[in-house]
Amino acid sequence: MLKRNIIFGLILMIPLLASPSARADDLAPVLQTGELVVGVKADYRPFGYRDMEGELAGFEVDVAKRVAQLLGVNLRLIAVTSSDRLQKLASGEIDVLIATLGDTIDRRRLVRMIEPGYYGGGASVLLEEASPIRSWDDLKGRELCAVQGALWNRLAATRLLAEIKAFGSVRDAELALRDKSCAGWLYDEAAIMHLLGRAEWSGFRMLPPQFVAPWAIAVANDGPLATFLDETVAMLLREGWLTQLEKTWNLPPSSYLEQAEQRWTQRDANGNWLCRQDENGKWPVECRDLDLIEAQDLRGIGTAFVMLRDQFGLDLTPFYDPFSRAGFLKALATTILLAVAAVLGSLLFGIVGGKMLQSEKRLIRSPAQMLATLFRMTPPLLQLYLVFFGIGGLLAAHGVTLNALWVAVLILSLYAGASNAIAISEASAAISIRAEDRARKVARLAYPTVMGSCINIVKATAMASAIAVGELLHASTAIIADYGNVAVMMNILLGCYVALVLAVVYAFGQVEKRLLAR
Amino acid sequence: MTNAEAAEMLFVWTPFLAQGFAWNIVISLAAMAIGTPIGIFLAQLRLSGSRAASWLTAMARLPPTFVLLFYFAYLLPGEFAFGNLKVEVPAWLKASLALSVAVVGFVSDNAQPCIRHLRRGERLEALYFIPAWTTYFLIIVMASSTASVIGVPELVNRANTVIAAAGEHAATLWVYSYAMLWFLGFCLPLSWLMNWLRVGLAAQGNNVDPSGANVKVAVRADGRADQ
Repeated sequence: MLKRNIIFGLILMIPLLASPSARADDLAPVLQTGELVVGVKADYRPFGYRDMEGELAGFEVDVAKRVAQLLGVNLRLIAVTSSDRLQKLASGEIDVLIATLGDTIDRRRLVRMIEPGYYGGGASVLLEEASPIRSWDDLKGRELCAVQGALWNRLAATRLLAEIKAFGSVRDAELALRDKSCAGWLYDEAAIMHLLGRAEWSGFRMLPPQFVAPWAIAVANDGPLATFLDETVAMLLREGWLTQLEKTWNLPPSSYLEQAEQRWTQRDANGNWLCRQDENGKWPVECRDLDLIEAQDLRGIGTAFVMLRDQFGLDLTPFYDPFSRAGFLKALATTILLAVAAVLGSLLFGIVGGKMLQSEKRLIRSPAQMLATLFRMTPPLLQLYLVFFGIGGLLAAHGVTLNALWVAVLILSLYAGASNAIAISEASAAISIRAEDRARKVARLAYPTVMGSCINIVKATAMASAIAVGELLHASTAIIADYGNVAVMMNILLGCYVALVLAVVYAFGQVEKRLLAR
Repeated sequence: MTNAEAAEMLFVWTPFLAQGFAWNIVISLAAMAIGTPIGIFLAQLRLSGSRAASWLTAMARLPPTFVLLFYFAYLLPGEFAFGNLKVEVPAWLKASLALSVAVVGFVSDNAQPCIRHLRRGERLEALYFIPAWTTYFLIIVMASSTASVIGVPELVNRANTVIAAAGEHAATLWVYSYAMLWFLGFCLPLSWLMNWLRVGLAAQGNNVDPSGANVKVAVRADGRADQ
């Protein structure tokens, strides 16, 4: 009997062991080590940026300082970006995230959002003064530059039907807008408003804000730290400290802060705060922002995907969500296009270059030698940057814009083409001019090297993501920034590439069998 | 921006960029240091007929380094704890690990003929491994620039910082071209040296072995860029 009870008791405990502790004590370790690690932005004036000494500073840094001071611990700041902030929080690299994170229903599924928000804002679009875009409705079908991980990207694509070109960093998006490779730059209202105050952006204007949401501090899980932060932000609103901070940083008065302060300073008949935590540490419903934006649409069979995620941590919801799925499939097609075009391009450059290297005329041979050396002895990533941002910038001043995809094809083709040219010229030098069936013999001799460099160029297509070509890596990191399902996406990505490389190896094997072998 | 202004800007930032290039070398040397012993080990196993080693080598050749870079950056924890001992894995080491996978594949393939020659007592032919290995090191140096995308402050990453600091569009072309010169300046002389070594070895081989039978050793000097 006793034995049976013990077994029964153990069975009852299994779900407790299996489910991640929902209310793990995350405050104790912070107090114990005496250090709070906070992720803030480094590229978002005036909320989080590096000052002249290279130190992190800004509105959000001040909030982080105040929180650490209230806890009586030291503060360690870590710079995060829109695309890696949720992942750094989930991995435990940071305890608290204060990084211009808009509070949405989707994100509440990933992290514990602190209520109330400490600031609020929406999206805007930075445009050239002369741009024909006058309102949000004009964005339909237009190409907009954006930053990966920003909430607005999906909303603008699904609701306004704009074409989104998301870059990995604010700097790259800025450069791309200056190079006129998009009609406008979709980003946070607060950041754009700040940019417009600077001389270098004179001649630009912005659209009125849209999709306004509170900005919230976030922690990984519900727990004592979350409860403490809930209470702290409420206190900062009641003290008027946040509006004071807004003035310190010369921010225009935000309507969100004004309304929030009003709401949180209301008292009931007994003189107590109207908004106060109940015994479970929850705010009353009337104090909460519940009309949040829901960007994803998970219904019907989608609930099965949600179950898979919540029970087994296997988040395949992006493949249920039509927006993410279409994005991923399009990226797969782009990668294949890039790979095929780069292989063909590198063969073309290889054959032409090989002929030039064999030329008896120095005027033809020397430039070919120099170019082949230049392309083989410098990193292709740098070549991509140089052509897309450097030369692209010069051309933009003359009204010509470069297409990122074709820049990538050109650079990859030249990089592998240089190797191919040398292999082909060496092979052709080794075969007598008078040999029978000479072309086939040269091809057979150069074949192993050419195949090797073509396979490598297929692998290198992932590099095109650095100039925001929407290939597989780019699509995967964009999905990770939205969903935080790092392991799933990374394994799918690696699997796709391995399959692609195997396909190319197979194709080359067929070519060898049909054309080169006797 | 006039040429003089550009030259002055590059001069001022040179120490900062040079430190970045030192990172490229550190990352690449670490990748070679991790990948080479594993590759030699696999090569030895393959020579004794191990199928697992052949399979592991094939696996090392498949994944793109650029994708592995993100894979490790996102999935490897920043810190491992063995009991009380905490081992940090900084971003640059993750980059080295990603690059070392390709090194394993290359070394496993190229060390095989080298070991075979050594076992036959053909020292000279075995030496062909050195220029091939060094050439591959140069390829890894160039590939180390990709560490910039995961935030390692190496040369390309710092070039981006300089461009942002200059705040002028004209600076972009200058700074990237200058960064390219650093890579050229490092890789070109070393590559010439290795070619010279290869020719020298071949000439020696001809002297020692008049039949010339083993001159064309199966060194794949063409270990092309693996990004």
